[in-house]
Amino acid sequence: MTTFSKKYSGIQRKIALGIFLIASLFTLSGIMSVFELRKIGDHISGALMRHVQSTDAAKQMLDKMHDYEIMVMNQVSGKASGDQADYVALDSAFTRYYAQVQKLATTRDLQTELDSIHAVFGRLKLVRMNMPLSGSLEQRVKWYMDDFYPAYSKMLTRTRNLILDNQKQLAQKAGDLEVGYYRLVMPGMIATAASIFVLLMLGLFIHVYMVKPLLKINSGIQAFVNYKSPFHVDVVTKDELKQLKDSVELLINKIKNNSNRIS
Amino acid sequence: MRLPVVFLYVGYAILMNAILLFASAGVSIYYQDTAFIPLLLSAFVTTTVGVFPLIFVPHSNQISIDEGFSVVLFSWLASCLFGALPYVMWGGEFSFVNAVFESVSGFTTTGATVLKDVEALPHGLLFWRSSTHWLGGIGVVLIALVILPSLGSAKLRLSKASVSSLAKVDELKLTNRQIVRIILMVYVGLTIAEIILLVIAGMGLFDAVCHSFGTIATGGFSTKNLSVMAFDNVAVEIIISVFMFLSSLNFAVLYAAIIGRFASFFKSPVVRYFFYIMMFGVIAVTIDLKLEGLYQTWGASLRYASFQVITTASTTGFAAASNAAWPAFSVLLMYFFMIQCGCAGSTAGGAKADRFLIFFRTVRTQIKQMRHPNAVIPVKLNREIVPDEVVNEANVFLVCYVMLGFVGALLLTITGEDLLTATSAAYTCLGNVGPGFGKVYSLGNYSGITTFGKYVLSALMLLGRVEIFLFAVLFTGLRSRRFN
Repeated sequence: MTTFSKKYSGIQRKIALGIFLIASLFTLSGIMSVFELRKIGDHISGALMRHVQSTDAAKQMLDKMHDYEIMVMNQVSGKASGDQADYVALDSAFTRYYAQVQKLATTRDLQTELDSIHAVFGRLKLVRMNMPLSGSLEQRVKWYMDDFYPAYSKMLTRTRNLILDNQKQLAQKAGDLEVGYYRLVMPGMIATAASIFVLLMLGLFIHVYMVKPLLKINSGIQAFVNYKSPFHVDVVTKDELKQLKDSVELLINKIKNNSNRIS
Repeated sequence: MRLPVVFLYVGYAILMNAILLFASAGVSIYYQDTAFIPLLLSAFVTTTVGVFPLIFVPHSNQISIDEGFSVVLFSWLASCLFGALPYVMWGGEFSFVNAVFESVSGFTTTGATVLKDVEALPHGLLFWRSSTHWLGGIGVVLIALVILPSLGSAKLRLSKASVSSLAKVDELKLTNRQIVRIILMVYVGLTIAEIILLVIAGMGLFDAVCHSFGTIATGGFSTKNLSVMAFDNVAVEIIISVFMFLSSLNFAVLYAAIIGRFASFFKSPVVRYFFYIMMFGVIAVTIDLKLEGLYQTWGASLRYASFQVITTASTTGFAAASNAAWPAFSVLLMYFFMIQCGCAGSTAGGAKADRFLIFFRTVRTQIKQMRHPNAVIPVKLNREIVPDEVVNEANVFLVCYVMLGFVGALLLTITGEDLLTATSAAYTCLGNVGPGFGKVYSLGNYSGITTFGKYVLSALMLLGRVEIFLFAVLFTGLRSRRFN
């Protein structure tokens, strides 16, 4: 500070500090905007990626359900014997995708939907295990229509809801982006408004404490030169202008003394 | 008027805000919440703007009356504006108008909120909300005066402008410097005492600090959606009630009591009047609530009636019960307290009990005068003659005050508010109380008020806080003889 004071004194120091503060405001607003932009960017891209993966996994679950139904239909119609290993493979594939969606689910709505799917899937498996394998075709068709299909439809609806919920979450993220945009521009806007206000103050202070005293000193000198009026100029600041005023005062006094001596 | 000098003093007031903004940012770091960046940036912006005049403007011990009034007015306005920055930057429920409303409500110690979910706010912002109360309570300008190295006539003029002219402390024969010290000592002392007592009563430290800030400043911002009711703790309610009552008394009288001059405390006619009228309110509302069957027991009626009467009469605005279903008698009685408010020389805003007492004495004097037309019967308080100019000021002020509340209510009805909401919101904001009736009942909020309505109420809060005449003097150029 001492070095700074020595290097810059009075007006220089004031202007340097003033400009430094204004520059700090602009720099700060820039840094904050970049920080917020990066934060929101990361947040949004991460969220988008999660929802895309979640939707993909939910679609895979839907496909596995279709495969499941085809296997059951084949078994009902007698086209296939219904190998248990095929069902187990489908079950595990479905469970894998289910776990993937569960891992990516961040909202309570999605978690609730997943819990429902888990329960409905358990019920569907139970129904499938009770298929009347030894019964006639009519009995199997009746079982399919009365027991399996309602449970399967429920399962399909739940899985479709899961995809819809994912899409809703995406829309919500777009809304968040809007709010984020508001937060993103706000620091910059506020810092800019503050900077403009500070600049206006700077203009006022320069006018009142620098330009005005100069004009007063000038008119004081003019008055002395033209009319020999006494030099009475009030400078409130203790800077170079005060020194200038004192010097002019001294000069005028010397001139007056010299004039008196000569006359 | 020298604008740079006004900027200089307003800058000091803004710097006070900056200090508490940095403190709030510290709270935000401690709780690792999302308000840190908005608070820090607001603190930097506020500091920069506050420091800027200090670089250029030389100190001036002599300031004119106009400059003094301008400093007071612009300090409030600037504080409210800079105080809104963290809210605006944080976002959430805070649109620009909501942020301004919340900030004005904080600094004017009104305690009216636009937030539907206060508990969703991060700790840093909650602390800042309460800090605005604390700063506003002491008077931004009054705080700024303490740090001024120059304590000449500048201070005298500013303190006269920011403290109500009725708040005289002649009895204690104090200088202005001593008055400022007393206010600070009493203010800080009461705050610390309440924090300790609330913690002992079972409140968490953070909640205790925020509620103490709100109580001592007679503000009313809580950290809970259900205000004090959320704690459901009789001890907490009693502690807050006692401190609400104390904070609404003249701080010089409080100081006299603290230093052992209890006689001054009970000798003050205003304190006596305020105490008796409040007791009457508590008893009347308790009986009304019990007879109307709102509460099963007399104990419950007394508990909720006393808290609600004290919170309204002291202009604090906390809530320990819902007043949505209160009977008309109690509602009207609360309207009276809403208009009357606390004592002059306290942190309470509004019309002030002192003026009401002078008004009642004037009515009595007028009746006597009618019976004895030739007699000279002055208005007296505590056997001392009240100067005519003070009596006139008090009575004219009351008329202007009631009219202003009426105009505010009228403007609110234009926006579609019902009569109860409009009138109670207008008077509660003008008196810096906070909760009213209707949509803005004790557990409600101002989120349902239109944008225009929020600006009207913000203006009323400011008018109530800095007193109507200050605006009038500044904008009409009239001179009050008292300040010449």
